[in-house]
Amino acid sequence: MSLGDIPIKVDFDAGPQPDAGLNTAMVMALLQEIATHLNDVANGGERQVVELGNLPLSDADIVLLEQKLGRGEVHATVSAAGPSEIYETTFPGLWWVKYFNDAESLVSQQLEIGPAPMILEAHRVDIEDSAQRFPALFDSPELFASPETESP
Amino acid sequence: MTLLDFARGPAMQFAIFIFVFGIVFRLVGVWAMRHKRDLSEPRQPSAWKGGIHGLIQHAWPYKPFRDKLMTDYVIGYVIHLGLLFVIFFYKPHILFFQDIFGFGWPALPNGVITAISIITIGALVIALVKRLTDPVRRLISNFDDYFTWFVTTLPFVTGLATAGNVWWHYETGLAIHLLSVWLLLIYFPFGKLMHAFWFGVSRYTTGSRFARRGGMA
Amino acid sequence: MKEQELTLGEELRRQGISRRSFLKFCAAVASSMAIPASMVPAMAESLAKARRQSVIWMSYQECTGCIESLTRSYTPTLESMLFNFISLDYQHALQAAAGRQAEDALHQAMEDNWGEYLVIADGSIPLKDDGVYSTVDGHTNLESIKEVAEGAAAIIAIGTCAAYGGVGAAKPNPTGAVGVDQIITDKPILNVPGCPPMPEVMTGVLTSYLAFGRLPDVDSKKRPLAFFGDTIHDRCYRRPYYDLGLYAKSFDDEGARKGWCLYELGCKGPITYNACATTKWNQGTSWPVQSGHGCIGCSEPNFWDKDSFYKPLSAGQWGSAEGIAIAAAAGVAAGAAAAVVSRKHQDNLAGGNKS
Repeated sequence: MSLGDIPIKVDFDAGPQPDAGLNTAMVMALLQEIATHLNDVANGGERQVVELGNLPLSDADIVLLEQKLGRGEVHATVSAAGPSEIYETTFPGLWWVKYFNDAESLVSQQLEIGPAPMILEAHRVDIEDSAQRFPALFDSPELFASPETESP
Repeated sequence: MTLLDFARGPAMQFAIFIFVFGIVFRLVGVWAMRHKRDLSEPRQPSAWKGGIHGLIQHAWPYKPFRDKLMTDYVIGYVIHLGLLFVIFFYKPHILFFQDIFGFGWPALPNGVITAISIITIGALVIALVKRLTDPVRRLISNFDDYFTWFVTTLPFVTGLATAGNVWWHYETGLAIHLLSVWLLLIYFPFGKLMHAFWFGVSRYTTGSRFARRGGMA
Repeated sequence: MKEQELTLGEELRRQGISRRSFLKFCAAVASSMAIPASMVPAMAESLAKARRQSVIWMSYQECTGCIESLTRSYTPTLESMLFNFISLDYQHALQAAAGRQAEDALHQAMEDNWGEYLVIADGSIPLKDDGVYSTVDGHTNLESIKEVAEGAAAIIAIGTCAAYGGVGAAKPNPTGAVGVDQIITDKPILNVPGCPPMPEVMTGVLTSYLAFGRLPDVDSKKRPLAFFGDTIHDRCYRRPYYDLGLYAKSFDDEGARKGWCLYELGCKGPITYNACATTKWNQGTSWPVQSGHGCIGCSEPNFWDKDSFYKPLSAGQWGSAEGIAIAAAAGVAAGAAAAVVSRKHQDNLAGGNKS
């Protein structure tokens, strides 16, 4: 086979390649799964997490899902190893969690079912660290010396 | 070398070598034999018409035997048309031939091919059951008949399994399917599958000889 | 030395990095490895308790494409955290030291971490003529891999060359190149094939080694199942069109743009095990099939020698078509010979009375 046998057709006007369309069956299955988890958590069960990245969802599917779940009362941003975006859907206890690498690239996208998403909670070790560092605030009284600038 | 590489490469080359060799060998071997001259006075001038008539006549059961043979004919047609459609109108198969001949042709949708395959396997099974349950047919059947059935059915089963991806590994399934086809090709010239070439010759010859003697095919 | 005694959690906290970062890092890894998201907190917990892992990276008969791919792929936030978890003690393309100093560093690292360090190898290893075709510091790759493997806890073969011989082992394989597991048989070996391999696999494998203390589960070709468990075809977004029998006829034709299957253009997706279809490349930007080119099967053994990349999978691999002509000629000869015998037989039956 030579280069000439490779069927190439170049069209510079071609727009971006469309992703595969809606996979409604997949979205429906996902909604069913979420319903089960919500029931479990409502009855005192443990936090549940559904990873969206591993599911064969197209962009159109994600948009559909976002529309169906909507946005609720809480919206938070976490800055730890790049930004993370978290919001509660219109269903309290169902959180949409997006982990970003930097401003653009999404590394992981999850639906969490529970009172609060785990990334929002402070870890006990970090709290211990705070407890250790905190007394420095009042151990060094000069921190509280009145500022030299005059108040207007 | 993986099993699939073996199946796509050396095994295929060997099978096609044997297939071509075997068919040419059988055709030349028979045609080059001394043909017995018919010393009788021809009863009609154009015996070849009888030959053509013979080809058509035997494509459908003769009226008095219709009740007895109709089912066999229908099953036979289902199997042969199934072979035709699945071998020549399934896209991956067309791509195989396209690679050899340099041109392709339109394919049937995969779903249609799957349906045809299932129907054909069903017809093959009915044909085998009829052969096994009819005492006369069982008596005149030998290893060749059963093995021919086996090598014809196997590619259908393995192919269907590969298309449906029921194997543990797709590539192993594909390799097994290919090998089953190569088995068919290797056996083809040396068993009853050779009827693909002989049926026309024998029907024409019978028809024309009968016609020469004033009979009918 | 002191740093190695701290746990990763302690060490990162000293740098002002909170546990949330661990959690997020583990969420990303778990996502790529299909580890249940519910396991993430436990994973983050044990990763924080782990200690910095000594890694020795040996480069053999290679093109440096693997390390280029891996280093270029890490964005400076999340994934680069991996470099806080390992101590890359020897990597001759990246390290500042050279010559004798570099080799000394290697031996020092081996001595300090004997029995505990991880070896990452890229490139194939030539065996022919006692392996003289690739040497470093006067030692053949063959001697080198045997030496470093001895004190290794495990070996990770990165790239198709280190895993299976790759391009070095392509026909006619002039140097007798092989993959690492053809030489080392008494150590846990993990293959991460691909030309180049996916960076996420590297992160996932190292993280799960640190968090769970062992290499991930592998298939019969020693590949981590989490990434190599499915074929490209199984996870392909064009798959529905294969099932419908809709195929692109040429690159970038209307069908190709509609997302039709690339089978007819030679895609090797059905026989290639890798995670490209879900993990994608360049931080999830795209992957070959999405940009309109079929999979070439670069993570499979001997992918160079499997005929054209543009030949459909169902087409055969022909050495040459001469065989068929020879077969036909042989058939004529054998047929004629058989006919001569038959004629004699016919004559005998006719009692010598030739008709």
